[in-house]
Amino acid sequence: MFAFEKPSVLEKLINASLDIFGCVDSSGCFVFVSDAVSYVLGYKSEALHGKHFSSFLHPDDVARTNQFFNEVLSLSHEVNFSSRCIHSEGYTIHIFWSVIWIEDKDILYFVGRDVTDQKLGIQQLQEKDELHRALVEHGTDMLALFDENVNFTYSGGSTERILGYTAESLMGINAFSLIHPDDVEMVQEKLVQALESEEQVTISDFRFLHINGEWRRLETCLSNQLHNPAVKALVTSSRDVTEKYRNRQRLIESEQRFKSLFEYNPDAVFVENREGLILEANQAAEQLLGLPKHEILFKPIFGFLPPEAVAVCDRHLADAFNGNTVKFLLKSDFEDGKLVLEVTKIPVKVNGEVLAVHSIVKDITAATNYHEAVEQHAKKLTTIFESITDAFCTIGRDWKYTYVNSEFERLTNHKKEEFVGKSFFELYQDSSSEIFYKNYLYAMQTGCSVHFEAYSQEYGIWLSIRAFPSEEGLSIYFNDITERVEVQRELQQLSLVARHSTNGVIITNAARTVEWVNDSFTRLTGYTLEEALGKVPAELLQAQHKDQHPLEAVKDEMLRGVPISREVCSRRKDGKSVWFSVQVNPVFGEQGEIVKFVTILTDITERIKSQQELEMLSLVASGTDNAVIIMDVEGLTEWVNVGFTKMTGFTIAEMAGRKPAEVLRGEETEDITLRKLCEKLREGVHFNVMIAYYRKSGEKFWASVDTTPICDKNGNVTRFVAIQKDITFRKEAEENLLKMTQDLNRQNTDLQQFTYIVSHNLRAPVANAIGLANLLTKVGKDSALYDDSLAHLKQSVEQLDIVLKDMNTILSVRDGQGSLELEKIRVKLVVEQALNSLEESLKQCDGEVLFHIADDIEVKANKAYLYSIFYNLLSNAIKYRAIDRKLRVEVKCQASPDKGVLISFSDNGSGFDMAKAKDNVFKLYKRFHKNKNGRGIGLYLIKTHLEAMGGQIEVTSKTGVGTSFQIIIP
Amino acid sequence: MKAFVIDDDKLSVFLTQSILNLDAATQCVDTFLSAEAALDALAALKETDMPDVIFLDLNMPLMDGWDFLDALTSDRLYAEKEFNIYVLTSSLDLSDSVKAETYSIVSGFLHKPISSEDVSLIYSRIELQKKAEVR
Repeated sequence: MFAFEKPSVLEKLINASLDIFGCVDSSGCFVFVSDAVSYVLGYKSEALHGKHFSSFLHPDDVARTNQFFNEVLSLSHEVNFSSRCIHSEGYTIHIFWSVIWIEDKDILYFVGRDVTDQKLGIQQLQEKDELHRALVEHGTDMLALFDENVNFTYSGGSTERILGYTAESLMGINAFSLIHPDDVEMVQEKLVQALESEEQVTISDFRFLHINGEWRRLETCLSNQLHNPAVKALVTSSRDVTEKYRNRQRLIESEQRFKSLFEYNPDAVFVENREGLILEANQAAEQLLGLPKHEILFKPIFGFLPPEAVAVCDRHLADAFNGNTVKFLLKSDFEDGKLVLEVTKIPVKVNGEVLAVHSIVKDITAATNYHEAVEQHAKKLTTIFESITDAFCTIGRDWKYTYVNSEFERLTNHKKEEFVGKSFFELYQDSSSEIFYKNYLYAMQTGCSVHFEAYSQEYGIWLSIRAFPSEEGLSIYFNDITERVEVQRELQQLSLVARHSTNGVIITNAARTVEWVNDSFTRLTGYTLEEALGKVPAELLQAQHKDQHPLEAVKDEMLRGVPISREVCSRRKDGKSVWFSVQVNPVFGEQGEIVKFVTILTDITERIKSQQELEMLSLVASGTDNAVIIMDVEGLTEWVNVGFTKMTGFTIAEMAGRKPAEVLRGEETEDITLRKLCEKLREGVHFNVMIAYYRKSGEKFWASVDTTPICDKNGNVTRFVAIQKDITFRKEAEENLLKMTQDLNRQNTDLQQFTYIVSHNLRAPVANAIGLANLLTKVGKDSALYDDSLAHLKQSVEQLDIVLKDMNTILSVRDGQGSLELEKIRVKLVVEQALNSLEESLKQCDGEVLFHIADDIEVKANKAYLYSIFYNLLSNAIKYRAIDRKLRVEVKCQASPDKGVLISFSDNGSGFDMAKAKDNVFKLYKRFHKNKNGRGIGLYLIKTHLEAMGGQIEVTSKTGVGTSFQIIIP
Repeated sequence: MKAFVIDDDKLSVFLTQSILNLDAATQCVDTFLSAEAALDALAALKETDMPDVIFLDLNMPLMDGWDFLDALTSDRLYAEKEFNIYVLTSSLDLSDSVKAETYSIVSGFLHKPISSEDVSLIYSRIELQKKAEVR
């Protein structure tokens, strides 16, 4: 308990005080606490007794307070401090403590005052100040104070950040020195206003110099606080509005741009809202509606529309508000009349929401009307074109089809679409379109219309074409005139035929008087058209010797309309008689009545004459010695005369219906002549052949046959007449002559060859002899050359002798040809003889000869010649034997009844090249082996001998294999 | 001078060769008894060893003088080559000398037997020709 024993005044005071009175012992535990503690901290004073003070302290303050407590224990004077305690309800209470340690009592007295409110007040003030500063420093505004001369006394806020000036650098600077000269006046005015009114003045938008020299636009609030003792300055708050100004400026520009776009758009433009109220309208809209703007704005657009258009516009407006751009045509009756409007509605979207709709209204009434007028015009034209019965088309200046009518389609059998838009050149490329092109081009270039007729190959028709040029191109009319052209052509052709026909043509009327005759009529009768006109032909041509013209006799038949054909004799104008074949054809009218007669006259005088002539000739033919054959057109015999039977032995009965050549031909009748005969008969021309024929008896004779075709009026062959003469005698003479000529020729050739041979072979040894003789004079008698030359000279002369002997042999064979006596000789005998003569040589070369010859085979020959033949063949075989093998010769002989005796002579010798030797094998002095002493006379002699006996020889040879001779002796 | 003699007549060859050898200018005479052998020899010769003059007989077995001339003319190997070919024949037939004229490679036509005068004339002609070529 406290020192007061009894509750006294003091005790009462203490307990009544708002401050807490108390004491703690040196350990810090409460000894006493006044009642105020319950008021201040919410604890009963009794509850605190004995508790340590720290248990009421704010945990953050415990350490500090403990330290303090320990310090106080060593001090004798009063100490003040504050700390936070925790109210029993948990909140913090700031307590200002005053403590004193009484050492002798070992007690610490304390007084605690609740200073919470005071503490909070200070804290709040501090916070407010801090907030201001932060606002000023970090706000966007620039704050400044000026004295009455507008010099800076303070600069703060974001001045430095925005304008670059530090606060210090602006001190004392006059504000006007930094304001744009153009703006100074305005700012001064505002300043005066501020000074006078003491109200806050806003100076919007003036230019102030940035530290980097750039002008910035500022907006400043100016407040005159000179008279405010707490301030004593002009207070300004400024903001940089440069960007804002620029944006605004841009906005203004773009607005103006759009405004003018809108305002001066030649089309009427309305801005409507969802309800259809007109929010804006341009000048064109005013014009369209015929009302000034103020009468249009904020009125429903439907009010200006005719009733029938409202629903359409309403529907499209709703569609536009759904975000679609719509375009439609509005045709309606307005006050000014019927208008056609093209309306485009464009939604104006802001953030995806359609706020309004722009309606662009274009008055296309005029254009539409024009278009319609053109269309109507075109339709009208089409109707006209279609109603044109001719085929019709138009071609533009670019040569493209612009129109074709249905008749044109029908004519060309192509659809309109296949032409329109296509070029003329694209469709027609054939050369027949050239004439079309030329005419069209002419029309286009000259502007003159053209009319021409042409044949279209493509459509196979004749066309009459009229083309009319215009600005646009050509209008072309086609008329199918094929029928007309064809009729015309046919007529032309017919008239050509009639006019130039070799036949006479007469056209008479029903009364049989002449209306027209052709030139041939005049030629045939001598009467001209003028002379014949109006006459009855039968009377005109009446033959003198007849009372009545034959045609008069058939007059009644004619008048019944029966075609008549007669051969009549008439009289020409010059009195000569002519035969006519007359054909009268009636021409009927539409009702079947006879309107005309067409009479054709053919001159058959010749034929009649030739008929008569033939009759006479046949009389002659039957009497002549020459054979006469009359054949039909096929070449079959119709008639032969007595002369034929005399010549050939065949009678008319045997010949009739057969071809003469088939009957008379025989073994030696040449096929080529027969062929020629047939050919000429087919050609129907006169010809002559010489032909080997055979009489019935089988005897051959030569006939010269002249065959002549007999033609009718029209030139057609009707018959052949052949005159046949026996020319056997003449032919034989001719053949003899031919043989003689051939012999002569051969002999002449032989002679030529002989001369050649003599010049070569006879002269060679002579030349050598001369040369050697000369040489001998030039060399010394003792030299070896002299001896050689002499030996050679002797050899040359010997050679000369051999050649001369050869000549003799040859000449004797040739000369003996004519008178050569042939006898029957047994072949085998002669072969054996030849073999014997050469036996020695054969033995030397160890050769063998095999011969298969029947003993009885005989030939008709000259024995010496036959011997020479075999001797030469055998000696050749030995001479030209192959070195590498034994010679083997084979001789065969065989008698053939028709050809004679065949002898084959083969060896296995060296042979020769047939290709190189060619036809020289049997020629005189031709040699085919080198280094052999052949003279080239052997085979020549063999051949000459054989030919002298009428025989033949052939040779086959192969180098290195052997040679084989085939001999035929008749 | 280097000469070729082509002739199947051994006597004639002997005679021609002897006459040629009498001329001092003759260095060498090659004789051939057939035209084929002469052709083969020519083909085997080097360009520089070609004969200065060729004496050619006409009448020979198998390949005659004409065949030889034809072979030379048609062989491209000798197209540029200038031969001095003298036909040396016993023939007196005019047709032969006429025919020889149609061959441009034939320089002359001689009747057998050849004389020393012929030889020296031919040689001097060839000399002139050679000089002209050198020039």
